[in-house]
Amino acid sequence: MLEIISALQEMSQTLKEEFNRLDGTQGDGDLGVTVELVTKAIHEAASEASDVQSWMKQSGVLVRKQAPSTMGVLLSFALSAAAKSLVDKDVTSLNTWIDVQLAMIEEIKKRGGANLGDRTVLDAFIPASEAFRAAVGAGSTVQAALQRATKSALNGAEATKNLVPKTGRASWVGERAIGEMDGGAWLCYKVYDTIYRIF
Amino acid sequence: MKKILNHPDDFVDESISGILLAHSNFLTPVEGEPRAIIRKDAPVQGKVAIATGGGYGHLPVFLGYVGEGMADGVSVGNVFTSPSADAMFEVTKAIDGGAGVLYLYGNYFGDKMNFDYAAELAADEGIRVETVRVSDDVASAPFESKDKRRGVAGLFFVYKIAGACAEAGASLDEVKRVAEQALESVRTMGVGLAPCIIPASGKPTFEIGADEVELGIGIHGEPGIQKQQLATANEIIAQLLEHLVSDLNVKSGDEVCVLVNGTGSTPLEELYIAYKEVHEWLAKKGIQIYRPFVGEYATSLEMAGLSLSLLKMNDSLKPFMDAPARTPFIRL
Repeated sequence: MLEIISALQEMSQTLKEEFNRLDGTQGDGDLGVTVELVTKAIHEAASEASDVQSWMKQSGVLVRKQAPSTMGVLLSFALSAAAKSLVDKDVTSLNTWIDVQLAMIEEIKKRGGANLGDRTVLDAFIPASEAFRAAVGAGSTVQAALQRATKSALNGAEATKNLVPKTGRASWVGERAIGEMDGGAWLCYKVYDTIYRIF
Repeated sequence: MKKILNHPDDFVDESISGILLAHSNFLTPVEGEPRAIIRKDAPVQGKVAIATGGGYGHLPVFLGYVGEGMADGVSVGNVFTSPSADAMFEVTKAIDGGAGVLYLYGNYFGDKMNFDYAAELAADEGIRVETVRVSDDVASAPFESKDKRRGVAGLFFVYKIAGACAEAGASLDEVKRVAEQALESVRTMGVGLAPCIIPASGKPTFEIGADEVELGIGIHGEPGIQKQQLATANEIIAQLLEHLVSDLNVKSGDEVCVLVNGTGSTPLEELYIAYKEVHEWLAKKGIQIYRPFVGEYATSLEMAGLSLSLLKMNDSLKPFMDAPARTPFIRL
């Protein structure tokens, strides 16, 4: 777990400028700052937690306080929802992690009011989680399931290049955003990719 | 990046510290939450309290409108970023004088999520909260979906009206109703000449050619309706006024308050050149000016440009507009 968190933090530092740039084409260009704050907060949460469930719970609280931008708050709600879905569950079971992804997606939909095709993080997250579930259902290993999820997240993120933003600050830009990927969707791909590389 | 600062990471906190030191007779932080700042005399018992908040970098929005006759407390985020729900909740508890709290802030997605969550926390503590999100920027969404518009300099008018109404002892429902009436009556549109630089990233908020302006720019550099060649002051003001007057349905014989707002690095001299045209253009259409305001009311750090706001007046709004207001940044 600590290895994943460190890798995510390293990823956020390496790609900070690229996140800012992608966000700047449709928003205010602070996504890289948010990602850095979020990974710092979940790292801090890990030092206070004894297991995965309590780490996610504490991550939700710290991210909300330390990274309260739109993406930060959506992620904090998603982490809290993930923590809730992990209560009394077997964290070594891949089925548990299917449920965690679904819980996070449902919470982001509920709080953010967006859906598939609105050019958000969900355009990578939903296909990735579905690919993960399908792979697990077909008896794949965790590595194979993460590989499939990562590939679907990338395809989903790439497809946002042709989507018109419908929600949040980006919706004001409308068609001007076309041609670049949505920063949130690309972040989702990078998170799957980072976790996949650890396993 | 050429700025007067010590370290980019300390930009917000050091700036707030300076404000609190300079204006300790008006403002005080909530203990343990330095980003939550309230009126020195809060909570005012029996008065509806008004909480606001948003990203830093827009002074006097939001912090500068905390004071008598305006808002009671504010939560401050990083530059152009929402404050945390925890800071909003701390403000809510500290200003509630038993008559409930109105959340009054600009219509931005991140702020909405955090304020909504803070309202959930407040409800758990038995504090009644109502919300009005200011959405006055006509360039940010068409009339048909005006609830999606963002909040810009028109915030000033809504604070003024709602704050005076709360100060007069109205109930939470009444303050909310009056705030909504003010919101229905206000429209803003801006023009951007040059971007600002966000201290933490060191990057400009938008790119624009040396001889271009962005019509309908947002206060975070959000692109507007179109980029166009720089025109004369009169031509730019006429463009803004045509959008505003049509969207607000202002006609000959109507009365409006006018706000010519500088976005950070526009000289006051230029703002008055703009005001001259506003005055003459409206006079030609037979539209009366009830009160003019010219200056910096909602900035975007050092962004060059201005915004123009119109508040359509009626007899019920006038006493609230004329009531006194006293904050570190506004004395009326």
